Amino acid sequence: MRRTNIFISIILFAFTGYYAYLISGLPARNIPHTLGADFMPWVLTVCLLLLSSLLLMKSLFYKREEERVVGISLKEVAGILSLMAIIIAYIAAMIYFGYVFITPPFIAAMMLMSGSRKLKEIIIFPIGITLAVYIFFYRFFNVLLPGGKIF
Amino acid sequence: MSDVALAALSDVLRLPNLIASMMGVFFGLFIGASPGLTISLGMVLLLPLTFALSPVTSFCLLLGLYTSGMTGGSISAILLNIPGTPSASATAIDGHEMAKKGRAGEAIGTAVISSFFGGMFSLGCLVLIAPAIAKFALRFGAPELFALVLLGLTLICSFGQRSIIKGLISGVIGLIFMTVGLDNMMGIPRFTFGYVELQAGVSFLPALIGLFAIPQILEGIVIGAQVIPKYEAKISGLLPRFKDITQLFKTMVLGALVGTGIGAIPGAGGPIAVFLSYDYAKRISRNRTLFGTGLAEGVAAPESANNGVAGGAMIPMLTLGIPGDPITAILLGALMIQGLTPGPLLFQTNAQFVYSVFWAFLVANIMTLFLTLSTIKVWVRLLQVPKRILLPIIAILCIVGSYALHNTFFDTGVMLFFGLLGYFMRKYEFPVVPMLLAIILGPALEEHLRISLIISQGDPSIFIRHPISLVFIIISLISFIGPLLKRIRASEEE
Repeated sequence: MRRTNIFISIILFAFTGYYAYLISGLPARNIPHTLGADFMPWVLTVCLLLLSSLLLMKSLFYKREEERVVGISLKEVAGILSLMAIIIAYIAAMIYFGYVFITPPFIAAMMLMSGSRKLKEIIIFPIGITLAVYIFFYRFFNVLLPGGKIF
Repeated sequence: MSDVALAALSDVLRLPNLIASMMGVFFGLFIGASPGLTISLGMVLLLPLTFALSPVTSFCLLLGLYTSGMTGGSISAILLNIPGTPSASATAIDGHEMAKKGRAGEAIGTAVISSFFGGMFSLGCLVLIAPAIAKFALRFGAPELFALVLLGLTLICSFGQRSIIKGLISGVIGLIFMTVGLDNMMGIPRFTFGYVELQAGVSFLPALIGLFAIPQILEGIVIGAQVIPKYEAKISGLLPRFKDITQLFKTMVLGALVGTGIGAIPGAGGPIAVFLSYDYAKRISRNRTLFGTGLAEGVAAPESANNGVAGGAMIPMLTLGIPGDPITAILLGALMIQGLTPGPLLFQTNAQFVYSVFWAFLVANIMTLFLTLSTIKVWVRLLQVPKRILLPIIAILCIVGSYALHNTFFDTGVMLFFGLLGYFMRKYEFPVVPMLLAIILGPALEEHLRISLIISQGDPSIFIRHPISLVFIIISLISFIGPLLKRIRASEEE
């Protein structure tokens, strides 16, 4: 974990620097005895800088820190990317086709990703879940579901 | 009984509210009994439904889930030795041993009755203590409120976390997210990158859904779903004899006391309470050597404690606006969705709602008792619902729920962003609860800090000059430095 923490503290330093750069671009509005919109962000910048330094120092000098490596495997990256791609495609398709038509294929795709291989299950559950959510949310609780431009 | 309390009771007993309670209890039992699904996840999935409900109906639904989720966690802990929720971890020790000896029914019955006792005890404490704290908290001005919010944040960031530094980093990053949007005092847009949707700030509901639900979906798909073994044996004899209950009374009182006390401390939470109560019960028991071999006392103490936590955690949430655990943090969010501001003023301006919360908690406890005992066979079967069906349902509820907030996919994007962040935070051992709390309490922290400094014309000594705020700041420092020194000392001793 030591190396991972060193890497994380470097990312946090970079983020702190970027955040400070954004704060410096905030428009000023001087009103007497009133703190500006940049006050709290600067306080948080200092806090994050201090905490990132502490994490770095702890990782560098605290020898008892465990040497366990927490990396990301290729399988994990592929899993995350494919899930995100499916969700983004689902959202994009929903803009045009609406919730009811596009949700069953999305659920079927997710079930396949989760290890489902039974054809009957892959056909029945997506339709059932889609209708159940539609009735429960839209009909019963009046919560709006995404409507498409086409349907 | 006052007119306000009676009006609140008649409101809670309306049919829609009773149905909401029952739905919450059923959903909570399912969530609690299903290993891997947490009560927090159940709460965030139900939150979008509350948009269309009245505040009382929303709380009937959510409190039903909270109470029964705590009880439901014991079912899989006892039958399969897999705690449904972290708060049911200690129950598995003796509960599963009882099940192995063919006493699963007795173990579940003891767990349900102890949970009911713990819930009722903590409700009593809530009703008695909360109004007094709220009355006292009415004296708080901006400096005291700032110090109080700071105290809540530091307690959550440092107490019970594996790494205090990582807990604090998580909290600070949460606060940074809360600086996005139009500055309330100056009217200046901050870090909106030209997006109109960000002018109102980062919506906490998509952030909550992302932080709690998406990592579970990702883990389920990337790591693979946990294989749940099947429970085949018959469950009978759920109702313990009266004599057995009286013998467990002392243990249940102890568990409820520990649970309510620990629950009221922000950041402590259920898992600490259950193991503490188990340990105390073991110490005071005549059968202490039999603990771990299938003793009913070993089930009664943690189960009474984990439901005691529920009422205890609501004390600081309702009276001070400081949640005791992640679940009450989500309840706090539910209050804000309804346009209610938790804190001492809630008792003045919405007294009837506060009483409704008390009654709803009572109804939820009673429903949990009866519905768990009468439908236990259903939950045992539902333990086997495969993750390949659950994960897509959770994903749909996340997407629909985040969309429903403003009927825009921008919030769905925010949910996905926080979901990925939450996944990597969990992976690299950064706790998400401090971030969640910072997201909810951040705006109040900034507002009270700036108002205090305007009052004092920029003089920060205002926080020390006010005695109550000074006390809170000292406790904040102790809560941060104390565990740090303890860990340094422990490592030196090694």
